[in-house]
Amino acid sequence: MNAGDCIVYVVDDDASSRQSLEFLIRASGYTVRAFSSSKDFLASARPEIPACLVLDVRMPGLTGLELQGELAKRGVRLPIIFITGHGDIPMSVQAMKAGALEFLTKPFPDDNMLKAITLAIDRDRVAHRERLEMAELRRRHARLTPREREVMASVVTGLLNKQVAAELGASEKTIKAHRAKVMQKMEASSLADLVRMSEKLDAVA
Amino acid sequence: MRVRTGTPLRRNAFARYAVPVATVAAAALVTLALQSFSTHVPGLPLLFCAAIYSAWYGGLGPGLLAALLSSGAIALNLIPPPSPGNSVADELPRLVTFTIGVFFVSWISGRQRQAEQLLEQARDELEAKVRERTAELSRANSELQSEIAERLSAEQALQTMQLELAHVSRVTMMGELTASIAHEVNQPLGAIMNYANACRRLLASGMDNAAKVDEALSRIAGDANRASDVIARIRALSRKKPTERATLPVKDLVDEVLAIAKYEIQARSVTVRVDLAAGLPPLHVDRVQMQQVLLNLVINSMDAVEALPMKDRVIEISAQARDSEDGPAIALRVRDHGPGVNPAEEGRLFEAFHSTKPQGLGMGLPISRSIVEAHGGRLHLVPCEGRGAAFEALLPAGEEAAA
Repeated sequence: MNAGDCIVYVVDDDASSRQSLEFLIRASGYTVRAFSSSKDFLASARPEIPACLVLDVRMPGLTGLELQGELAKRGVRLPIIFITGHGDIPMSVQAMKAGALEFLTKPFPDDNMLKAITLAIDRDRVAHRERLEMAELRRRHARLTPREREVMASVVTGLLNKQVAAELGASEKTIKAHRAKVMQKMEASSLADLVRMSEKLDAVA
Repeated sequence: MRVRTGTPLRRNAFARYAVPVATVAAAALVTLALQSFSTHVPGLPLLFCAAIYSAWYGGLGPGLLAALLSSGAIALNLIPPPSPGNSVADELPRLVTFTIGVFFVSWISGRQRQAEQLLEQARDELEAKVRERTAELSRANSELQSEIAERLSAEQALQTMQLELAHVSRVTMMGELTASIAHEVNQPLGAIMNYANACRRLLASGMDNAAKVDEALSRIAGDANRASDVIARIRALSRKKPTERATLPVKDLVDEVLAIAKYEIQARSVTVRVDLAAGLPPLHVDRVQMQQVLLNLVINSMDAVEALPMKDRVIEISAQARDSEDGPAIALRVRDHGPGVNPAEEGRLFEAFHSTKPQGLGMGLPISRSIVEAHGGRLHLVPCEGRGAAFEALLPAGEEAAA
């Protein structure tokens, strides 16, 4: 059975389809939240836990593809499994290009759906961990004083304390104290660790 | 018409001239026999009677012959004269009297015969005329009968043809809705599959999931019903059956048609607005044929708005009661906000095989019109405000709605 620390969202306008999908996924041990329209889904509050989205392509109002675009615009990186009532190749190509994880045609074998969900949740779990880590790093980084951030930026380029002191126009001793503060506040165990953290922060920034 | 003059006699000449001889002889013999018993028996009356009878029976000639024979008999003293001792010359006045009598009687009997004959002739002519007229009438009647039979069979043939044509066009229209129908059946089937798979997982888990399995099974039954409803609707539409009118609320008609076209409407991102007046009387129509008419109008409207931006793809279905020349009616209208009907095309809209669509057969509107007209209604393009086209079916209202 799957862990209960994740959630599967289902968005499908067709009641039969939505309810049966909800039932199937729940029977496989997942927590499910189902919505009958894209609008309802966007309006809902989602907890910050690993999740994935099972999304019907054709819906009145905002279609599945449009919802995919809207989520990307909002920076929500949720793995999406598309479902459709009929195999529409151009549409599936478009969905996959936009980053969909899977495209299933109804009626689909439950194995395919559940495998896709497992994969999606696993991916989001990794992403989720990274998201948490990033949030932690940002939180730590935010605690640094402006001077400490300058010191950190110079140190991670590989400069010695002396060189940093010359660059920032301060004494080597002061820089050493700042550096110790940075290592402590960033909870870095070594210089290599700090460099890795800095890279991550830069990648996002 | 022939008018015969004179007094022709029906009897032959022998009979006519035998009668005076026989009657005069008989009168003479009877008179003589009577006189042998009594001398008081007068000699003349019986002879006179014989002459009169001969004149009546045979006409003037035999009458005169009888008069002559009678006078001769008296003159020759075969019959004793009333006043004895008279000479033959004395018999002349008697002969004249007899002759006048004979003339008079033969004239009267002649006139009588003439009148009779005229009557008979008129009767015969009348009879002939009646026979002739009767024959003419029966001929005309049989012609009329055969014409009626011909017309009836022609009408029946036409009706059969129209039913066939309507059926063909209905099936064609359903061909256009294949994706829609497949989707409508596919949704509940997919749901059934999901529930079935979920049940297998629940059972395989080894836990007590009886309540969940039961829930899934009842949902399976519900979805199977949904699928079979879709199929029943489609089968009703595709079946070829004779016209069968029944009471049908306008709302039911509209709901059923929208259910059939639901997916198509959604796939083409069309918004359908329905506006039915309150308290409408129901229709008295053939359900399937009227669905065909409305579905056809709805599909036409969807085609008309297809190229528009999504927010403008709107069609409106409305119905209101209206008083027409033929009594209370329901005006069922389908309106779109598309490009409208090209004025040059307007006259040909209801022509068979005339289509403005690349895949169109050009049968939809003409068949819809023939169906509506067979129900005693009318189907028209009606003017509307702003862009778009509006088609209106004016249908005779059925019985008043029961509550």
